[in-house]
Amino acid sequence: MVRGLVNLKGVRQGAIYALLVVALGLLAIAPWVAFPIAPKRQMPGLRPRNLAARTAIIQEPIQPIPQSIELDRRKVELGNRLFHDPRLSHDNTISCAYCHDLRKGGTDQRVHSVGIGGQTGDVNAPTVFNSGFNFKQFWDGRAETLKDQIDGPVHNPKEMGSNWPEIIGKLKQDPNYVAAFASLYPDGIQSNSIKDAIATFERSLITPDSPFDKFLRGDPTALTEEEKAGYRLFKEYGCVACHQGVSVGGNMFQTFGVMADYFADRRRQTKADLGRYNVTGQEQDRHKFKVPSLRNVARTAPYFHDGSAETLEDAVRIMAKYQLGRPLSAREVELIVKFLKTLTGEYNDKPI
Amino acid sequence: MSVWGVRKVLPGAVLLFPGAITFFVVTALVLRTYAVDVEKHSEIVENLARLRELEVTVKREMLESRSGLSSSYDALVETVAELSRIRDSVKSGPSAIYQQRWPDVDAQFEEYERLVAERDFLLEQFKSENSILGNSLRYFPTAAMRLRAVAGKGDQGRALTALLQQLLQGVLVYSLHSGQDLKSEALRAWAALESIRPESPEAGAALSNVLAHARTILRKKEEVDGLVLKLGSLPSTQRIDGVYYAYDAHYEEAVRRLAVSRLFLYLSSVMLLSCVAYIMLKLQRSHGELSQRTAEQESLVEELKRTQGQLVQSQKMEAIGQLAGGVAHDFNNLLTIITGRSQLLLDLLPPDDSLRRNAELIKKTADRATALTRQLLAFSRKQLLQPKVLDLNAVVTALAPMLRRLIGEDVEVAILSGSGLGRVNADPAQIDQFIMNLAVNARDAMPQGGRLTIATTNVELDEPFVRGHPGSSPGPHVMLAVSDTGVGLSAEVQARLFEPFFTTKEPGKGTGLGLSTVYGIVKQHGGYIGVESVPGRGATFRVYLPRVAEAVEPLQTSAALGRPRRGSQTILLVEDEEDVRGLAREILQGYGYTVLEALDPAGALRIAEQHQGPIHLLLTDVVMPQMSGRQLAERLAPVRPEMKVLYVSGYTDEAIGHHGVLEAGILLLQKPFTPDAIAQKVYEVLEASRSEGRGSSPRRP
Repeated sequence: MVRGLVNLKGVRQGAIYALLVVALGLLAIAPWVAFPIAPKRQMPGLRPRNLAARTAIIQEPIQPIPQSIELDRRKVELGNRLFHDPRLSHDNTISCAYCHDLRKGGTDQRVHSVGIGGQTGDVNAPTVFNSGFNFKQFWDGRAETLKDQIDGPVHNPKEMGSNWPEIIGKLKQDPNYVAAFASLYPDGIQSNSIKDAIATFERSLITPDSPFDKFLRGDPTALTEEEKAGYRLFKEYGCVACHQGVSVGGNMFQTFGVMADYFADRRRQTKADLGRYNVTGQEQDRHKFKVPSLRNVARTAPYFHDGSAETLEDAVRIMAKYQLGRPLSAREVELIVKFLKTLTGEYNDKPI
Repeated sequence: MSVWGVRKVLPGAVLLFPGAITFFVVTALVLRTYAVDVEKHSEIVENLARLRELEVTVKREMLESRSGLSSSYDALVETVAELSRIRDSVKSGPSAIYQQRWPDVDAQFEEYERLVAERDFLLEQFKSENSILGNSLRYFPTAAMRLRAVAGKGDQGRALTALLQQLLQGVLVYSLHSGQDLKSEALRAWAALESIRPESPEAGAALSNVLAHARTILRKKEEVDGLVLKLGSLPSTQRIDGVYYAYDAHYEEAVRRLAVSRLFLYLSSVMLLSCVAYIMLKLQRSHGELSQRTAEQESLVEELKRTQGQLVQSQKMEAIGQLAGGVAHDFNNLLTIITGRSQLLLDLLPPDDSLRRNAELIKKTADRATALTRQLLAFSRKQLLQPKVLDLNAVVTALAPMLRRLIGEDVEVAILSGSGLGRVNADPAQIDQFIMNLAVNARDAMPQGGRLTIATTNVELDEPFVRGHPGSSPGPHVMLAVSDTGVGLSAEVQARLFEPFFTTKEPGKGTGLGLSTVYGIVKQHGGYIGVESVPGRGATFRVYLPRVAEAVEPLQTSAALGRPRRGSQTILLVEDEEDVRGLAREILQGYGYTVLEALDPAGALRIAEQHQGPIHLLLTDVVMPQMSGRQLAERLAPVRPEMKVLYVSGYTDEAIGHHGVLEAGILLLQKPFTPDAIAQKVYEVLEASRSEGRGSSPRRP
């Protein structure tokens, strides 16, 4: 009996020793297994650029708008509600859509927009459609992104005249918002999440399938001969030097008055007329503005930062004179305007 | 052992300290290894590589725009946007991984960002100016042709056309090749054209249009080329490399630290391992020690139990011996009377008397009782020994014929005499006795016959043997082994084998004293007896007797007991047992002796003083109340110097012997005695003194 017990003890002790030895062995090699040191990486050399990502319609300076864009549908929905919500303004009267009415080509079709208390803004409201393609936001490009842009009108006392704590306080009283934000953003209702939702919605506001895009995609019947002639003039006369790319503009700055002094001729000057100079303080940037997109341009009158051109024809003539330094015949203006009208695309499968 | 002593001073608690320190060190080292995240590191390196690539791409795309290969700025804008995104992730990358800011990396990155700001500014300038330049370049030939169309055919028109040709050529060539001479040539043509005032307002408008675009080209071309040069020579990739090298130095350091950590981790592991190994070793050692001690304790306990058992056994044997000795003493007196009286009776009865048969039976029975008493005495070791130096081989050989007769036909007797066998100091009669007893015992174990082996050999008993066989003593011995091939002995039987009256035989057969006698004899001789047996396969009794160096004494053949002769001397008889005294007196008087009787030593002393005549012999009992026979003899010696002393005793006593061995010069008559024996012994003693006396008689008056 005692002997058996001793034997059993011996066996158990042996097993414990063996286990301990194995465990310690593992412990000893653990650093190599758990934390392997990768061979030192050299900086990889230059890789061939993935050119397929930018399939271009060969030789054309203007590219069609993509037919769809991948975004979180729920954020787009939330952004849509916020975009149309006047609670984002101090007195609950002005929503984003007030000045960027989707039924009016994404603008208010006024010379200068009207903010809270009937105050008038300093510049013409640009369309919100395709604003996601703009390389910078505002006429002077002072906002790098759509999200940054939102801070502008929200705080501008002439526009919405509000601030984020005020807006967040109001939105938090709406259980629908609280639930929607909670499901999409870990932080819930915050300035960052509000801006993200609105910006996501704005990025969804693209207008593909304009007649010109169809033409670009290879449908020669999408444009009339006059419209095609207008496009040829648009390229030949140098408009396309600035109005190029997907947005037909919106990817660079240009001085207003290259070949002639626009502001001297106009006489009355405002601070907003200094353009990008207000942002950089550089003399080169005086009167420089973001080249606006010409997409849906037929629906976004009046034109220019000051809303001074009431019609497309006026705008084309002013551009030809001050930017291109050449006279245009009435016929040429007519043809170019016809071309510009083919840039009107569709939103939710309907022309805007 | 001294090493062990030191180790024992180190208690487990002392080991806890380095153990705990090692544990914390290992934990800290493991946490340090997290400082290097290989995946994040490669992400940062890849991002830096991508930045570098994109910076080059920006330059390439700028040149594409400048050369007209690209007609839109979308690609450039997209590249710059991607650059900005990656830059942000690189900026937050290292600090997010390493939980600390590295000022040199930050400084390098800030330098790169300053460069980026400059690049962005220049790039925007470039885009604007390049568009203007492109526009004017594209339109300039058209404007020139329109001017030519309206220039008119006059001299002025021709000069205008020629100058226009010159300007057109100069501007266009200059736009393709940057050369200051080309530019000044174009400028000269431009200045000449400007000085012309065309006649028609149409031509004037066309001319100013041409001049405006030519001026724009000449001015912007230089400006754009300057921007391209500036943009192209921006050390953006060098700045990124600077960030990379600064970061990589930190990473290298982290990796180096990791390697050191790993080494220390290994060392700590080894230390932990050795701590554990040491503890285990210690544990194992103490376990071994403990189990050894436990075993020792167990064996001690077992030995104690065995010793206790032995003690109990020997105490029991001792008690039985005491009892037997006491009984034998009294029996001896009684048997002396019975034997003596029946002998006297027989002497008186005529040979044909009808009562003679009864008297003979009484005497025979008394003789048997005497034999029994002797065996009891033998067992209780109260028998008086008269040892001689013996050769056991000779004893066995002499005994062999008788043994064969005793054992019978069925049992084969083998005697294996060891060569060069040592001698023993023993009482020959007793040796004969125990050999006979063992042989008889062996025969009884083999009712179906078998083989009896008697072997002798020299043995040396060592300490282990003595430990295993309590009661034995170390040293040279002679062993006598008696083996049989009989039924064997069970353990229970072996345990009680030597107890008197213990027998496995049927009641009535055997006295149960045979082996007890053997045991007593061997013990009394300072020997040891052991038995080995497997039930069914026989038994072996081994008797060990101490070996002695002395030479063998020749065996004295005792003189045949002839008819005792008569004497006339005076004998002082001291015996406290009245009947024994009476018997002795009658016998001795019957043989012609004068007997003075005393019933105790005091009486004897009185008689010795008062008796007028000589007293030739003191015949005294040894064991008496008040005074022993020996003391009495010593007290009487000065009073009666010529008086002989003959002791009578039933068993040994310290008074006359030492450890059962009779002292030299002491004469003893053993109880129970027969009338013949006492007469013979008294005669011998007196005769011996007479011959002495004769030798010294001339000195006596």
